[in-house]
Amino acid sequence: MKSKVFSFASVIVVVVCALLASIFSGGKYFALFSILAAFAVILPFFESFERKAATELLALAAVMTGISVAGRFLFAPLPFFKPVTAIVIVTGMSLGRQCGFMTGALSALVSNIYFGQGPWTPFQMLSWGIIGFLAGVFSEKFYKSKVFLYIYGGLSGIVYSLIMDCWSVLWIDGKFIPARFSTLVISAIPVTASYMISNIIFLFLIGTPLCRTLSRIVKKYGLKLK
Amino acid sequence: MRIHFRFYSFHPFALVVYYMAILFGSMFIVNPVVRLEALLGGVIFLSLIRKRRMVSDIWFYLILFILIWITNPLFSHNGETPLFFMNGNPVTLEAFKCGASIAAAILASIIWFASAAEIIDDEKIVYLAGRFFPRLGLTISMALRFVPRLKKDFSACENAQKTAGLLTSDSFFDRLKFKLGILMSVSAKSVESSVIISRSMRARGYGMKGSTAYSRFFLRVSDVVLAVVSLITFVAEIIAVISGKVGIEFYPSVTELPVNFMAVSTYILYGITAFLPTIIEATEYLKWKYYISKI
Repeated sequence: MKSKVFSFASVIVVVVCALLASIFSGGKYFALFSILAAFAVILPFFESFERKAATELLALAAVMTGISVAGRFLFAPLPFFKPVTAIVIVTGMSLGRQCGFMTGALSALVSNIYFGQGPWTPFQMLSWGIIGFLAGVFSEKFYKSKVFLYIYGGLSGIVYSLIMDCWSVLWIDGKFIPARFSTLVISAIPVTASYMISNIIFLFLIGTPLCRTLSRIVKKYGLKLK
Repeated sequence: MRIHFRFYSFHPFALVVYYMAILFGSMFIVNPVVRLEALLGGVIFLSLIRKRRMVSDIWFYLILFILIWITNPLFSHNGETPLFFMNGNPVTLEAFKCGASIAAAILASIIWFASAAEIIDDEKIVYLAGRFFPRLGLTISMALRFVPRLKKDFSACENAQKTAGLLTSDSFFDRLKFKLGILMSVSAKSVESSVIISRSMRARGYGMKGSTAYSRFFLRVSDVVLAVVSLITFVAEIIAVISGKVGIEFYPSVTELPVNFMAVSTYILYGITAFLPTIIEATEYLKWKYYISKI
């Protein structure tokens, strides 16, 4: 019953978004629609976590979130090296898509409590959550060939920062001005490249051992997470 | 440290409604009066919270404002009053005015978000998430507890390995590998313990039917008043946005500032809402000052 109410509510949110968007065409209220749409996508995930998740999954998502956020502090002396994306990917891969999504989304929320919340929080939650979710979806491929994992890590770095740039351009005045977008992307190239390289390096160095640790836990306690 | 703020002690729901009303108005009502109110109210309240820290932040905010303001005419060539030409493109007066308006909106929302982050702290986020999604709320609260604990574990492990002489060189790659070793060993230990925690939670009956949650927050009259005032402003903002009688247009030429009934009432309502936290803190300060016994 409760689940139906929630899926109904999220459908209503999406419909209202679309309606509002059609009323004020011209992209004037882009920021509002994008925030509503981000919530509309995140809510069903939270809802299914609420309904289905085992207590073990809850604790594992919490500890993986804690590791990725505390890892940002651990790696603070090394600029541009943030282990968050790599940890989210490994979590999604070895603990399943749901745990991956929750770890990604909550890492964004919790790390923004330390590093500053803003209108970008829902989008960071969504993009990191989707990165973890997709890592869970493609886990078979990643296990077969590590190259896919590294490619996925690199791509998620690029796509993440492109999406955030695209969103910031639209957020300024709701218009997609190519010159502004390209200025932002070009000025962000060092950061994007560092995301990509650091993701690949992290996955290369800790991907396999961290995966083994998590898989061992799953086997040892007989968890059924996937 | 900020517990002594009156505004901090409002109920989370009232605060969320309040910040929604403020942010919606500052972002979506394209009107210089509303944006000025949002900016002023936000800056004054944030400097009340941050005190000394605000002095260094204000430079950052100023630079951000100027950056957005100055760059808008370079990207947007609409408007009918060209000031000069750059690379064959007109740089217009309207684009400058529009840029100032956009910069004010973005700055106001950043400043209000900064004060929201101080007022709606982690405890309130956990409460808000927990009201609708109890398991999610618990997960966030556990993650928040894990962060300082893991930070402590990381530094303990780092110190132990340093004294054991494991970090010998200063090169970037060696330091990275050293840190990754710490990350691996601490995470192996804490992942294992988290499963044990969850087993223990289940043994104590977590997730059984009929369990209730404890919360420190109680709805008081003042919370209801704040929520109602914010809701009225919120509704007025939505009406103002939908009717289109309050906003101004920048292109092709800047329209006049509207002074109809709806516009003036929006200015007044938004002004009251934007300066409400400052007014509340000021009255609390005066009460504190004048209620002291003068005998």
